[in-house]
Amino acid sequence: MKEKKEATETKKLSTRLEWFWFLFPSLLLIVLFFFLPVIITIFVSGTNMSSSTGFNNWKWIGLDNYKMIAIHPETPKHLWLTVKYVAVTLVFFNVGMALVISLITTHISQGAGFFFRALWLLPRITPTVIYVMMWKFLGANAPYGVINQLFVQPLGFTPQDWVPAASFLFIVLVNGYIGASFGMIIFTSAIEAIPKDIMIASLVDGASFMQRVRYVILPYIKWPLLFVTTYQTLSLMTSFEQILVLTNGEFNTEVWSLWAYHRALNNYWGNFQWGFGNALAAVLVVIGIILGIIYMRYFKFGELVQEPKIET
Amino acid sequence: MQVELVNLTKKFMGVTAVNRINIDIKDGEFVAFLGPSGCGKTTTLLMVAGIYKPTEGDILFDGVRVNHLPPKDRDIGMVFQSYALYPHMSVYQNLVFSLMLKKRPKTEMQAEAQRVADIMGIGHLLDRKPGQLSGGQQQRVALGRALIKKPKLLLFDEPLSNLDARLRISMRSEIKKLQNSLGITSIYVTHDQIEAMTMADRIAVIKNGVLQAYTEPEELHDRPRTLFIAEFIGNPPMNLFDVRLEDSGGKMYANLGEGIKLEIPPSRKPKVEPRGSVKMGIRPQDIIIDNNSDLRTEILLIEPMGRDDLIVCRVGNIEIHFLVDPVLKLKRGDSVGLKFDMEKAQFFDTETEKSLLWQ
Repeated sequence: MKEKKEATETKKLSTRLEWFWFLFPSLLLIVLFFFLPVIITIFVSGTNMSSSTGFNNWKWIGLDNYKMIAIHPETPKHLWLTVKYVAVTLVFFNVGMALVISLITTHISQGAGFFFRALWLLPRITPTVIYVMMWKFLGANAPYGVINQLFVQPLGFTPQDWVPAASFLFIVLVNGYIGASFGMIIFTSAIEAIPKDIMIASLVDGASFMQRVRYVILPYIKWPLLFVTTYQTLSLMTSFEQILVLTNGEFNTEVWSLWAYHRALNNYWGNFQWGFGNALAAVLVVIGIILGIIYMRYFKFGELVQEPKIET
Repeated sequence: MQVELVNLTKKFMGVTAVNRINIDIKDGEFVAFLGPSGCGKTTTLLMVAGIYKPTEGDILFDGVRVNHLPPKDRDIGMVFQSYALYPHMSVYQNLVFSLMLKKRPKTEMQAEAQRVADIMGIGHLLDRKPGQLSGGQQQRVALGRALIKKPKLLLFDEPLSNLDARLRISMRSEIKKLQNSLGITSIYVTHDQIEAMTMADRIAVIKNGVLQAYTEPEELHDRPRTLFIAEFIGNPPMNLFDVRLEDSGGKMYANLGEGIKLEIPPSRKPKVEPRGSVKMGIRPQDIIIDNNSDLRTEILLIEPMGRDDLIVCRVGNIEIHFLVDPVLKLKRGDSVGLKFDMEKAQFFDTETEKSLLWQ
């Protein structure tokens, strides 16, 4: 009798711990590569640590780094550029273009659709440096460069240095052409998962292509839309490697994350302000979390989550 | 609306799904397309709807060729097996979707929604989402959505297959009544022969993309023109035997082997000269117990079906299925004598599978 009781208790304990072992692998990754770095970032952002103080002579300076960000003359410039860059790339490419490609390639013949989607994946599978070098060749200095040689000069216009002349357009295009393929894959599979009968029903009901997109397809892929929008906002906010290779922040392309990188790890003066750089990074984390919450509220994330199908 | 399919053919990448089908449907008629899955009946329906374009042949609505008319201009309503309601819209929005796309005034939409909601008895559900409805309710909404456009042609793609057996029977008669009172020409695709038999004015039996027969239900049941129809129509299915036809003393006999020889009455003598052995078919309800008969057998299996018991027995290698009244209280192992009602027998050519009686 007693043994039986003990057995059920051990069983209870093991079922109580079951959830933990299921979560453990992902929990480990999140703790190691997200929570710990965030804590370290916030910790360092409270110090004046830099290459001149080294790791031994730093001091706690509280919120001074954040105060400095608030009054820094360059802050509004970088902030506005980042907002503009994220918004334009997101709307026109990472979500907009992705949606257009997936809508078009799911409405043409399967083979052609597959071919065009494969083309759009090329930028993503090309190494960043090579990919950005290709853009550099496109817009290279007058009189060289593909744009100058093939279009501007034959048409009788004056060749120019395109990257500095249209630096914002270039950073949007360079990132957008990579970013679009992510949403494209997600949206395509979501659109193809819409039951065929629903599509037929909407045709019989008299929906034109645009009406079908608006009233049937978009509501159906609301959840992937939320996911891609959220994910791509956060990833655009923190990605800077293409801009680093293309302009290194020159010609007014220093987005916030690149600013943090330059301050903390790589700048002309050689004094790496780890404390200040980490404070810049921490600001991004906070903005990211706030945006994430807003998105989830706006898209009614709670309604999208279903009750578990199996009771425990 | 009168519908005509002329030599209608559809090929998918070289594979022929529908092969030269000819069907004419009168105004107000209820026609069923019947066949096993993958026979091309839904493909034919989708061509009528304008979703697929025919590879060859014509579709005529009231004598006008509509091959390239888009679905929205065909005056059709469609009901699906999966209901295909828009899950993010309320029942009301589902109903008036087609009107909304045409930018009709709100008062008209409300009036029309009320009209079909009254017909279908779904007035109390207008604010719900499809996910909150039972299968039967969803199918009513789907029917309402098809009716709100006042279509001239209703297309049903196995609409009752997802419903439970009881509901299927009540919806069956409901759809039939509705079609009768509204007088809308209807095409009803199904693999369920009972549905086709009970609802349709005429049935088009399709197999491997080829039209096997297009006629009234009784005709299909009593005078099947091919072996396929004989096997497919009727529940429980027809008994089929390989027999040799023998003449002796001016009379014709069907020799089943195992010593069973049955006299064929003059009315059932094959009109076509048969080649060697033929197939003989007889329905389970046309075999009766007669203990004076020389044909004796032992009962192997009894399947109670409520009104009848289906009895399975065997003579040598020949398995025979027949129906008996449950009051006889037969048991497994009982020995019974059988009598075939040869006035109901069917004969088919073994090779061409065509009927030797009805050509």
